[in-house]
Amino acid sequence: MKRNKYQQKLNEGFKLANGYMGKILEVDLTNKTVRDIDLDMKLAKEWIGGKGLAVKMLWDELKKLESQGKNPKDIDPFGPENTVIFATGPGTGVAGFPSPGRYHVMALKSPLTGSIASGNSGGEWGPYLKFAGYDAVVIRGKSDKPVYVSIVDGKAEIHDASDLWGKTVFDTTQILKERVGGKLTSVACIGPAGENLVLMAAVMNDDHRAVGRTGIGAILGAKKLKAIVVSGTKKVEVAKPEEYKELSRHYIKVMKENSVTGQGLPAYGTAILVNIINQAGMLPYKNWQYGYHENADKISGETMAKEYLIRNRPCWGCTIGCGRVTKVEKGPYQILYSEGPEYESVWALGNSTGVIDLEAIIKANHLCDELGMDPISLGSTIACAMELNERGYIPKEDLQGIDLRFGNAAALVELIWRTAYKSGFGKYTAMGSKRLAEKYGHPELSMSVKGLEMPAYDPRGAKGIGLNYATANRGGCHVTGYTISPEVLGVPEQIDRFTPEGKAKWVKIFQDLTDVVNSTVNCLFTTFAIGADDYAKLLSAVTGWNYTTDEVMKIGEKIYNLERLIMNKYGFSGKDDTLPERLTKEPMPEGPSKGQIVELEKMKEEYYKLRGWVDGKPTPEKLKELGIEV
Amino acid sequence: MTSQKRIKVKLLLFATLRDKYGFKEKVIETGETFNDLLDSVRQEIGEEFVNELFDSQKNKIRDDRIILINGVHAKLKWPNIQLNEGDVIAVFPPIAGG
Repeated sequence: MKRNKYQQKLNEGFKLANGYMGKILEVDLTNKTVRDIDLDMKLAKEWIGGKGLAVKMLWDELKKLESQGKNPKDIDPFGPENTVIFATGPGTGVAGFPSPGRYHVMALKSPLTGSIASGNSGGEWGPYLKFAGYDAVVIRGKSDKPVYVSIVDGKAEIHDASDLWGKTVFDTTQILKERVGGKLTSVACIGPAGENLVLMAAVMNDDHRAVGRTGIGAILGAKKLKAIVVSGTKKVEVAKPEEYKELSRHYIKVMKENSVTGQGLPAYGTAILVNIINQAGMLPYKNWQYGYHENADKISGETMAKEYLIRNRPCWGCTIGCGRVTKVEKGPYQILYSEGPEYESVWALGNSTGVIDLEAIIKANHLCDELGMDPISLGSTIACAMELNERGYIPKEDLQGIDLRFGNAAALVELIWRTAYKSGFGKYTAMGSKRLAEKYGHPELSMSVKGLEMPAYDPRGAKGIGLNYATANRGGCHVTGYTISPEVLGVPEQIDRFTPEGKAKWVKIFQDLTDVVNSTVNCLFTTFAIGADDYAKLLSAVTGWNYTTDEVMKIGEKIYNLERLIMNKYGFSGKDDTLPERLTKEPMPEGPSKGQIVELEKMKEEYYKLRGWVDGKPTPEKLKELGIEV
Repeated sequence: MTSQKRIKVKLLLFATLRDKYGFKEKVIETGETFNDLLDSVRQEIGEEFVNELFDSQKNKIRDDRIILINGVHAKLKWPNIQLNEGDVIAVFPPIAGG
């Protein structure tokens, strides 16, 4: 169907039945206008949606800027040309899909890394955007004063947000939910950290859910966009309802019967990983100086479930339901309602800083949510600062009274809010660990890749995740290609974690599949139970397009390559696909991974060959094979 | 195959196994082979726990258990598992996260 005829039919009330709503909202913050554009179904079929659609749209933006004489390297992350895209996929908001509560956000450039900005979140916001009538929201320009956007049942407006500026995530969410109204209302917003351009500021939704990584909260802060509120009553229809119903029944059963998705994750949440990663000697401790310590159980998922858990909180429609609702009854870190912390937060705020105190960690994580910051980057930055200080590299006057030592819980909690407000030493931690460590003359103590702090697995204990950290497009990221699954958890099979041999193919497969899931958009945890061929079947039934397993994996590969092309335009290449020397040159000093280093160069060579890249750049032949026009 | 030498190893349980068997940690006196360990846990904890570790139909370590011996995956060493004094044996049901 041609675009104009299709749009005409939509306007006549024709209902789309293929997982999409058919509309994208374009917000121009400079001119304070909103307009609907139709979703190009050809693009949707080619890129699926979510991350795939966002990457393609950002690529087109970049080409347009280049044609206007702009050098991509000169794009200012805080400037009006840094377009942001909030995107759902055909699997978002579809009842009965294994985990349909997620959405993906991307921007041309991250203020933290200088590479592409990319994040993903759960909760309700993604489905509710679709119920409000849209597949995606594109944000361009920059407002001169604080604003928020409301999208209610197909109607979008820009509002003054001067009364909200300065408010926390929780206050903003409560006020806007009441103000905009409606039963199915969700708020995505920034807190004081985003407003203050803290480089690891997050976009938060539904109070405690985070688009955490790469500082997208700061990008919105620079644009003076406080929030996007969505509310609606539309339903997402599927192309083949009977076939979809059968598949849904089958996959819900598969997920429920799987030990991980049906038992482990719902019972203990993600923090169940603390003990196993510690027992493997790869739980980074005290800024990655060590990989094991005896008291890890005190901050484990088991301890959290026993002493602090109130109940689960699933994302919209999710079969798994791993989210935690927690409370600390009494003491200096009393919190009567919080959500999380997840494994990564427990590790970054606790294990990496040496704060083996789950109550302090719950409080610190709560503050990250309230003020809107990524706990992985923030916790790692504080751990980096602790090591810099303990080694005597930070002048006392810079600390302004904070006793910055490993294990100091009070310092951790204080530094969370100081960072959000760039107050005292917080103005340095707000820069992230790479700039912080460079400032004090020891860049090697930032445990980051491309400026993004690495998450909770020391790759000296699992070499594949090291290759993934080095080559993940957005920087030091684990979910991009989660080889911890075969290397430590034995899913889909157990491989030798200590060998670098054969890891490249696992990393590539996981990275490509992740992009399929992030384009659908569903939760990556579904892949503990289902894989590419299952996604192909589900997508085919929802969209009516008959995807094969090979086709969806090819789309995943294409998305990964296009994202990499954008990075190449910013100047990123093979020299940036690297790891801190602590991991490649310093053997793990003790514990079950003692003596190990990451043999990165060997794995990288094999990886580039498999990818069809040279020096971290896709070759013309690879691009031609994937149908990407440069 | 069983051996004569007696050693002490530490058995650690995690996740749902803790509630199921009522302990986090136990020192087990056993021999040097995996079969020795199975015999010892059969006596100390019970037959059900043997089945936690070992699939008697397939005659090998259970696929759906993560058993680390000093951090190394036991199923990768199977059947050539040699136990030593002070070894730490950590047992997990299928778990995951992110």
